[in-house]
Amino acid sequence: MIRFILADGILVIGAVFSVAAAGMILWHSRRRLHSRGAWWLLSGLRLLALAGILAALGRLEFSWDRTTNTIGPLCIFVDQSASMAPYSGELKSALSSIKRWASRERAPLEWYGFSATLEPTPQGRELEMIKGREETRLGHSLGLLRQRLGRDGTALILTDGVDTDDQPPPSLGIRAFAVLFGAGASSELEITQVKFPRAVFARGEAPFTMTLVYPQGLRDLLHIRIRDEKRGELIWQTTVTLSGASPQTLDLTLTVPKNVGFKNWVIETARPSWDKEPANNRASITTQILREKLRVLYLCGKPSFDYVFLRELIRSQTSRELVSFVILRNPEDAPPYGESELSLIPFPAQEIFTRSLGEFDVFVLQDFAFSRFGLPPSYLDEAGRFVRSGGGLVVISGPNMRQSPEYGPFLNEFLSLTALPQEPYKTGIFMPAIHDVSWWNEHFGIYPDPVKNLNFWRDRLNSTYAVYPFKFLPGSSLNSKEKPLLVANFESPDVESGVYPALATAKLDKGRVAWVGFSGSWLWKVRGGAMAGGAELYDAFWEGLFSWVSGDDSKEQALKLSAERQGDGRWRLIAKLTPGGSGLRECTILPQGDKVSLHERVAGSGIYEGYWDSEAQGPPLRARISHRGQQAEAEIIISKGRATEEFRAARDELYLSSLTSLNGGAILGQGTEWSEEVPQAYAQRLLEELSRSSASGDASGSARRTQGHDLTTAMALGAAFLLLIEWSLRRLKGMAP
Amino acid sequence: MNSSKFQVPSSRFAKIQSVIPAKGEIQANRNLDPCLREGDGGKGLEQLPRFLMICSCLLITWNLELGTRYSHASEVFNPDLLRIGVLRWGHGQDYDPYPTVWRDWGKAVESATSIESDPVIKDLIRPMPDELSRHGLVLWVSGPQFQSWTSAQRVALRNWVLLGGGMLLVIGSEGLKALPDRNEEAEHARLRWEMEQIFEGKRLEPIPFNHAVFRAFYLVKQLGGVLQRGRTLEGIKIGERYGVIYCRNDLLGTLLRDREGRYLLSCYPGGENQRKESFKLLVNLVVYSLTGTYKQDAIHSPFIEQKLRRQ
Repeated sequence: MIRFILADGILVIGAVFSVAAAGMILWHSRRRLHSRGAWWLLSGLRLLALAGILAALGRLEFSWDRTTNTIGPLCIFVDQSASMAPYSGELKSALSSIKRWASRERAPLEWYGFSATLEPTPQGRELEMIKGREETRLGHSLGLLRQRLGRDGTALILTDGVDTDDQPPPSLGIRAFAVLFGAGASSELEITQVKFPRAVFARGEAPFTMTLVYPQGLRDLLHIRIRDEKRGELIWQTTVTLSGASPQTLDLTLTVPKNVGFKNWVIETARPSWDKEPANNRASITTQILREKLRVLYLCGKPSFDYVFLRELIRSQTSRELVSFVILRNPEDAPPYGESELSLIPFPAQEIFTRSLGEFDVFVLQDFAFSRFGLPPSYLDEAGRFVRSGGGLVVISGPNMRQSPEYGPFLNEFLSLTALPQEPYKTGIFMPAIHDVSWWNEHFGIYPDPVKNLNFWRDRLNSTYAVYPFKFLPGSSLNSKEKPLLVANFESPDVESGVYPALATAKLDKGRVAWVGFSGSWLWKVRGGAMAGGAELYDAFWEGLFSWVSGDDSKEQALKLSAERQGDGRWRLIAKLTPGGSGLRECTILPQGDKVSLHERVAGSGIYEGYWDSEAQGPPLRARISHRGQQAEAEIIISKGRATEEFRAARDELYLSSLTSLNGGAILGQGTEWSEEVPQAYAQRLLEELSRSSASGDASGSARRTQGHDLTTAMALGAAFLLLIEWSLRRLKGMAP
Repeated sequence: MNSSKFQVPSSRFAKIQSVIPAKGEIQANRNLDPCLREGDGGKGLEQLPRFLMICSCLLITWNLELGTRYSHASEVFNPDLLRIGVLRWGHGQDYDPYPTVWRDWGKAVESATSIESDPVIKDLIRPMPDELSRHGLVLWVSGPQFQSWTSAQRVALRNWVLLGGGMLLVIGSEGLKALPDRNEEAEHARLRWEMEQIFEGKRLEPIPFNHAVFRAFYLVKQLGGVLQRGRTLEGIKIGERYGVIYCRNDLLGTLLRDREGRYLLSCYPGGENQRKESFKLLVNLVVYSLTGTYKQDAIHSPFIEQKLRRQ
């Protein structure tokens, strides 16, 4: 077999010059030589010498044996550990495919098994039977192979996972390729790991990582989103690029929403067309959103003691940031001195309502009349949108608000309140009646004992108020998520229409809104202070209301659930509840509705354990845990261990990926892909590597390289000898030139 | 009567005796505030025998208590409107030397600002817990006759300011009677000592002119008053706000008018400009009591500084 190796451009350049030189020789000789025989002789010698030089430059190789293979042997490295047992069928098919392909391509194969150490196997047939060894020490075994070969080589590793011994992948001087078995992870898309911070700040940025496994070499765009399943709302979404290097770890950043509390979220990917199993495209995230600062916007229609006392209260906490505007002058007011004597600034209504409102967590709107200042009623719609997007709104009534018709639809829609303009506002001593005792105790709790707390409030609430007549009609609200709640009202014998709402609340989409129907709460504080009886009434009321309206009272619990099938058929349930609590928890399995008692493993750990004895074949899907009136619900992760297997597969795949890339190879897909035939792309890659190794490294290649070098030298010498003869003939025969 | 007659302080007090508001005016004012009915008790006391004087005092005190109770029971108090508590001390009307100026003060506030004041803008009270507990702003008009509060009154005032969040405004007064031997410095020292006793060692500190008090509504550039005894306000800070503000100058006296509406007391040495600043400060003090440190918010500073630079 003769072939040229176009190692470099020298041959091309040499060939061009040689052709030019040959042309010149022929043309020149034909003109000078008169004897036709001499012309042929000299020209022949010169052309032969030229051909010799060309062959030497092109590193001409020559072999007499047409049957000798030109590619190096492929070392088939089969995992013999017990974990490969479930994949013996796949392995057998893959090995048969490899043998067929090797025979077709005349690639020699060398067979090795490995577990704790290297096990050479002459025929390879016995490798189809898994030995069931305990260990899978790949790095060690490949090291032994390298020693045994004593040269460079190419290994194809067939394994389901390896023992890494927490060591980085070794660099061995052997080209290593791997075919993966088990977990099926990379045969389709799968989220194998999500690392999300346990606590994040509201409105801040939360960096997190997510590891995806998908078919090697696949490049695609993937849509990822985070959802709050309980609320059914989309939290965040993005699109990422799959680079083809699976498993791929993505560094992502979530813009944290402003609603604080524990969150049970689901991160999931859209299902691509090539994905087989959509169930593994999702993972659960539990985190706690903390508030860095509560941003409060306070807009008040006139200076009043209610304003200054509430302002002081809001500013008393460094965890709150207040931006407030008080209308100091109405359009009809006429100060006796000019504008230059006044400290007033223009009220940036448009800026606030159309651009800045969303930057706040709570908006306090006290006795402000939009129409009085010619402001469009649509600004109230902005306030509604602010609430729907998760903001908290506190509306405090007053004479200005009562005279403003624009509040009618707003209050009716959100809080089921209707103004009673025909009735004058009432001032005097009133005793507000607490209508919803449980709500009051929960949010305005000064004493833990509900009866004592209620009695305390009832004793102190008897005070002087200015009450602005409104009517509460439950059920008339259309937009509230839950029915508006009348928490407290004023009952007075001289009130014709019965009761006036004192405090009403409503939840609207993500946000909350509260209505305070009176003025004079500042008197609670003054009286408490003057009487030295404590001013806690005022603080407790407004702090409680702020806490509720801003969502800081959220007692939602983060829950993570997993289930594992036991040998006796029962399901072992493990729940991680944050924050935890001592004692027994009752868990409801959904959709079956079965009750399971969970015991805390270690006191204060928040980890609970219990067993579900179900006749149903299917695994539990979701579970709900109740504790002290609060409920947490989450999807159960079946960990048979699917979760652990997935993680292990991802981890091993990462190791093998590093090992193969470090040793000049790559992961060549899943074992299932090799069952029918060696995939074309992988076969091509292997042939290239084997050819390269044969040319540069393996034994036969080395011999041929020596032969090639000898021939090159011989060609060069032969060319020189021919030129010498030609020169001698010309000298002896006197042939010119 | 021309107010220019009172430009020289030494002769001012002698002439001012004749311009005490007419009885009808006081009566009209009394219609606004039932608490004023004890005002008659101060007149002609010096002519009575000693035992009659004591009896009268007892009777007046009893009447006052009844009157106060009655007024509390019948009045319609609106916590949404401005009503100022005025501390009573001593005998007679020393604690309220200008009973007719309150409506003018209320009108000055109402006409210029969005603040709505109660028709009964003044509520005479004693510094006792139950009376203080109806007010967010209490005025203590000092005078040469003031001696001291009792310890119970001090505690009540302290609790009301520190725990209750109330604001105590202490204003000096020149009064309408001539007191040739008056030692104003001694009065000032006694007042300071009294306030330190009330607030247990907390000292009055000068309030800078860039504070929110001087910018609450008007831009006040100097301290007004009938006589310029002090150059700036002093105060005791409770947290971020001034719970006590003390003005040595007689601010209320600058509002005093006769029947024809002419000012009775001329201002010295600044004249009408000093009266104007006094007027502005009185409005600002009310606005400050209802808005607190609002004008110290970051959003206001650039506007105010720009305005001041232009001036």
